Amino acid sequence: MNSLIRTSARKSLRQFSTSSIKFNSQQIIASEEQALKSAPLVALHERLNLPSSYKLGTLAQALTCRSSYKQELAHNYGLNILGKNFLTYYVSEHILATYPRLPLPVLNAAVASYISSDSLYAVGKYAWGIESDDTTALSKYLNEEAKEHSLGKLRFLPISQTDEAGVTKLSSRDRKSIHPAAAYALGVRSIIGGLYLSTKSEEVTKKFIQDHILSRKLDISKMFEFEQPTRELSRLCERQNLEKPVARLISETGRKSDKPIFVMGIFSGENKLGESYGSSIREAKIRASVNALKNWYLYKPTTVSVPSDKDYKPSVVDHGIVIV
Amino acid sequence: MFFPILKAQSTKSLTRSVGYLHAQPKRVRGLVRDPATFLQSPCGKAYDIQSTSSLKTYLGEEYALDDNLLLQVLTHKSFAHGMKPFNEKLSVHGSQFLKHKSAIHTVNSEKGISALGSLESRKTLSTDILAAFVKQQGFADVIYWKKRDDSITDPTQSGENSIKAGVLEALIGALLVTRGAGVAEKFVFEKLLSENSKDSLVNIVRAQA
Repeated sequence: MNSLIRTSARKSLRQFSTSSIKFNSQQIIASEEQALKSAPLVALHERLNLPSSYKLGTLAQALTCRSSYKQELAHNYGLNILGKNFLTYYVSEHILATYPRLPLPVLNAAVASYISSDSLYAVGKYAWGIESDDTTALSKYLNEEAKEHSLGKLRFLPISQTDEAGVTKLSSRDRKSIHPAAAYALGVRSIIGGLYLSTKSEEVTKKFIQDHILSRKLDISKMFEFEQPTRELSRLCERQNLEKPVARLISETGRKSDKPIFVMGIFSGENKLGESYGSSIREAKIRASVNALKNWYLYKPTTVSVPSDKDYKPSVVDHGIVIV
Repeated sequence: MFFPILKAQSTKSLTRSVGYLHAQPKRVRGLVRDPATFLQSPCGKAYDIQSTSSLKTYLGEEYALDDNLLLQVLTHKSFAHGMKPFNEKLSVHGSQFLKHKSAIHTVNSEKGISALGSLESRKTLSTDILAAFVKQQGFADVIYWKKRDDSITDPTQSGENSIKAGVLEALIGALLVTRGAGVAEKFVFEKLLSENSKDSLVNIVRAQA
């Protein structure tokens, strides 16, 4: 009797793991009928407010990584590339239009803050609530989970995070296995790629990126790090044909106390470029130079429009960062 | 509490006057160089707005850009220690736009989404192909940059190809920033990705294959 149950279970397990859904030999997208049976997939579609033209099968494809065990299902490799191109372009376009003079290293850091794997992991896992399919085939079988249920979960082969005590690993790491953050990033990018593929509308995709990715707050002013601010400011003034910057003491208090405060301003001719305070004149001067440089680099047009807008109005064309 | 100083400190600043002692052809350490000796392209073309004429002719009326912007497009960050406007950010912006439009072009073509990430697709936007395009159009001689080592002649090693590719990307970036996405898209589809244009990137890849 026991052997009969074991044989039956093995047979069902094999069916589950290799052909849970009947597909052809070619990689294909899950049909709408099958996809509709996946509650997490339908819920995700609704939660993201995706248009009806965005098929559930395409969404299931966006959640299937190449490393997934469901090799017969179409994976998200192409969707990921498409989504990545959309994300990179629209995010950098937005930042560049908002801050046209932003130095390239800061721009890269800002773009990464929006669309790095870690950021997209947070979006996918915590904002969109995508679950990963990390239950074993045995658990699924024992729980009598519907075959299509996992279509709504992110499917990938994860890197084993911990070594089991007493188990010696003989084989090297599977080259296809990926970190969960990378898998979630693939999923998020692929969902965006899938949106364009389904709607063929750049405007809809741009709006989706604005709502879900660019809506997060990012303080770019804290990303700056100047090594030689006074020298850089001097060089900037020289390049822009401005008068040489001069530091002037604006006010001070407690010069002879143990907690003096000096307020310095940096002037180019009659124009004040920056102002700051410090516990010494030198510190205040450096802080004021940093303030002046930030005022320059963080220049923001009064009306921000991006090149992909229909009513786009050109802004400043940056001449590049100052090389010290 | 702050006590404002009644009289501002002296507004005069010391200015250092430097006498030019142009030592040519040899460079003398410590002396300010005559700008004319270094404000020129590796091919010997002087840094001048007139040098943009070949690029201007190529763009025509349809994609016309301001002369100063064209000069910026042709100038790399390495030139004159970054004291002249350079194309770094225009290039980044243009590169992203080109990749974005190329992906859309591929998806909407017969090849479909499965062609994204293919060898041909990656090669079309590779540095070597973009550099070949710039060379073919004849504005490679007026690119202003500084070679890190004059003894390196191989364009892939000296960074020459990367500089040329950067100029094409900067050109797209300049069109994008000043004329908007519509004009830049037309330029990309018409001049770079169209199979009908014999000089397009797609046809350069095919010719090389």
